[in-house]
Amino acid sequence: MNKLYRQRWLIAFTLPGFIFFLVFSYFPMYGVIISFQDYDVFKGILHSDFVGFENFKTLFDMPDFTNALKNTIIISLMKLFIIFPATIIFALLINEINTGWFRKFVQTTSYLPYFVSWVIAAGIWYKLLSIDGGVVNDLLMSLHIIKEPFYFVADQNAFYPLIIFTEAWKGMGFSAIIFIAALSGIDMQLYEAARVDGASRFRQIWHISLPGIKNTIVLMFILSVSGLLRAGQDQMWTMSNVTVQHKAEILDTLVLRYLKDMGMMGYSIGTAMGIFQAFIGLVLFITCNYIAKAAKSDSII
Amino acid sequence: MSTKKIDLFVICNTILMLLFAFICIYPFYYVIIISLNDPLDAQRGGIYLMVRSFSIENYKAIFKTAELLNSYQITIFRVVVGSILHLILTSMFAYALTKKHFVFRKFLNWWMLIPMYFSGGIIPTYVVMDMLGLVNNVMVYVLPHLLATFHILIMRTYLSELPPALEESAVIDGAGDVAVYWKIIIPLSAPVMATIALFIGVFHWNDWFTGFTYMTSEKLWTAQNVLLKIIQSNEASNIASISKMNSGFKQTVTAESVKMAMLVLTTVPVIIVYPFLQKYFVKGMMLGSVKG
Repeated sequence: MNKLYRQRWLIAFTLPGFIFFLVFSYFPMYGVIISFQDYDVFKGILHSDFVGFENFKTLFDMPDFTNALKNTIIISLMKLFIIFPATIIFALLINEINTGWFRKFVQTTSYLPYFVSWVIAAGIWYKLLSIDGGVVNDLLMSLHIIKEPFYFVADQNAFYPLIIFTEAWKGMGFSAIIFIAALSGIDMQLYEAARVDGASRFRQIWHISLPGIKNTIVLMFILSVSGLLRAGQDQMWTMSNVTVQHKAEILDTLVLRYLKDMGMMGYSIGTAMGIFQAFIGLVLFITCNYIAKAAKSDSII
Repeated sequence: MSTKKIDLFVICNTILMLLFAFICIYPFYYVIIISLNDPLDAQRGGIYLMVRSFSIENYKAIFKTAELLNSYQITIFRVVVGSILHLILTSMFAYALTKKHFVFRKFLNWWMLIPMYFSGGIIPTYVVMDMLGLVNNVMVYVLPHLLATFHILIMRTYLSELPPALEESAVIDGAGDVAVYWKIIIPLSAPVMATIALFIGVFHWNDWFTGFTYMTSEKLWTAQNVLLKIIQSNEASNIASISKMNSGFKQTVTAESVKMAMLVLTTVPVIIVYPFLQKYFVKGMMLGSVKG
């Protein structure tokens, strides 16, 4: 008791934090039980009827849900297999710049888009790609690549390329930081020795740079895989519109739509969707972490 | 032969990198020049590199529209109040966690770490907020963002690396926990405070999700929310017509040009702090990746 009294100020310092996590993190975690209920707002969480796994069974009969699940996986996989390698190539190319100030300039500008919100990014690209007076359409027409303006943001087939492009634009420079840091840790003597032996730039990249950052690549790849069911809520919500919604709907946006459009009717089923996503995410995370640890110990041997 | 080959690579790489940098910067530049051009003139198109006919009509229209001004006020409120409270609570919490003899140290470490991996999800969180009366309440911008585990970790790492001698000498002079915190810890933690202030400040400025999810009344929206609505609908034409009425039914601005001015106003603060941002974010990212 005396000890508690002596530490009263430390307790006072952490009390707001204790309450904060209790209310804003642990209460909602408890709230996930509404996915096992036929949630009735008037009865509340404590008195609503339990229905077992009924909501989860319903999920897979819903075309909305299966479509969103499909889109989520497609979009994540495309991002993983296009943007991830592109980021590594970008880091390698930056690493090849020998002029100090130019290298710094490219790197600094490359992560400018990272710091603006997706709302801004969407606004800017909607304008650039617009059909009346958008720069991109004007440029393509003056080069005679297209005859009349192409409606990029409202074309079903152009939507995924657009998503990949804007994601790369916004995030690639920032994600490259970690690879650039790893590249700068490679011993310069290796390159010198290779040059003496007459190795070309590409051979140096292939035999020195890439093996040098192999561990970082493996680690980052595994981390990306664990985020496979998060296809980018902010991006999909801000960049999509009615014409492409069928292709743009992912799990995160569907849950949000259930909350906003259906109100209390959608609580139980929407929560079930969230739990499904979180559960798969957790399984992926644990599996990937396990593989990452195995890969790490492998590389040490 | 071989020098020629290398030169070709350098040239191609330089061109590619220049193109990349251009694609990163130009969209912002383009939006700025359109917003500063005369709206009716801009409609004719063909503005790519320079302002053709300078005008600040678009910005005037924004400052004349009460709804827009209001949304910027709410944004500024949450950036200032939200960030200051976040900093105070983060540093208090992290400081207590650096005390090895603190009885609840181990418990609180777990208490803050678990939410990093598990969360209730959107709808259960909404239900809790609703029960707390935070729906359509401006405090929803501040309260759920008072602490973040990642920021506590950064602060804790920094504080635990401070030389213990500074604190010990103060304790010998008879200073208690509070005095040590105020007189020693706060002044010494200025650099890490700056880092976290930037993190949370940019988050508050950029966040649209909170307003969108918890505010059904548009009067309580932030600038990001209003902007999102304008981008996704033809809302900007309403502003154009309001300002048309204000200026005696003479059309001075267009929907597109007002949208551009709003985009600029919502981006500029981020660009102003950008030199600091890129320095501290890179550090923070490294710290996070090393620890994680």
